[in-house]
Amino acid sequence: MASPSATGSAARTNEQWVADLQGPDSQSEPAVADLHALIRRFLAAQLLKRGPVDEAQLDDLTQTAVVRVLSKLPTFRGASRFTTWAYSVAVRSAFSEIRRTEWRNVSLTDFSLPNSPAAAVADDATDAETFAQRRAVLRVLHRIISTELSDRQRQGILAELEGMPLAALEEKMQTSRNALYKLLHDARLKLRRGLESSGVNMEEVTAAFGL
Amino acid sequence: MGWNDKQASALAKLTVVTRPDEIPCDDWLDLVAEYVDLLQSGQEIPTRLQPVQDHVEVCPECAEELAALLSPFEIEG
Repeated sequence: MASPSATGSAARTNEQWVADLQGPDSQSEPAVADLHALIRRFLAAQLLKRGPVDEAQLDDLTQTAVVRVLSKLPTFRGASRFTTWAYSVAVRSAFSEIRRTEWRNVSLTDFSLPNSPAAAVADDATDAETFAQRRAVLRVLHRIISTELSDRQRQGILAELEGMPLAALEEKMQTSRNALYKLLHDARLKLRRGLESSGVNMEEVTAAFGL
Repeated sequence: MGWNDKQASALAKLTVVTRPDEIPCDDWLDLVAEYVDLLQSGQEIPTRLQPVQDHVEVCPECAEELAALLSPFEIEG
């Protein structure tokens, strides 16, 4: 076993990687081939943890990831091993593509704010006091989502609650990952501050929901 | 119909883990490789990289990617 940072038979220093990948064809082609092989092995191992690996899909994800690594090469600062950095770019590229594909047939219009915040009855494992605390928290959050979030913030939060990953959400909302994150972060801050201004502290929320 | 238990817990958690000083996913990606190398070599994580750990408390996708980067895998050949 080896860590993802291991380079196997293609060991190069950071400087050699960058110089080779940016060099003339005679120099860059073997480096790109080595990079491709490393990323393919890494992604194969990661995809296997998610389920059976389709070779054609693995090839496509690898090719896209290698292109992504090469396009980001000028941003490599040398703060880590080159291979660790390349794997981080590759796994973002591949997992994002998988997440987008998994959610391709789901529309944001499938999600709407429920009319009431909480189920009418507690499950058997929830005592009456805890259930009442949860309902009180959810009532405040429901009101904030309904009245204080923008339409896009509401859309994003509701999609998150359905488990939609950001990679899919950014595509559907036609925005960038960072812009989406900021939109949702601002929404979450409104929820938190709204709860606090209603007299609910975070320790109470943690206890009520067993977080 | 209201939120089910899973959605209600997810909403509560999203609220509780929110911090004013979070870094977005792309900024996280710029820092994570250095964080992984330091962690795997047993070195101390400097304060400037603490947001890398904080971010994965909020973002399940980056948490999954970090887990992948920290997981061992077979080297062939």
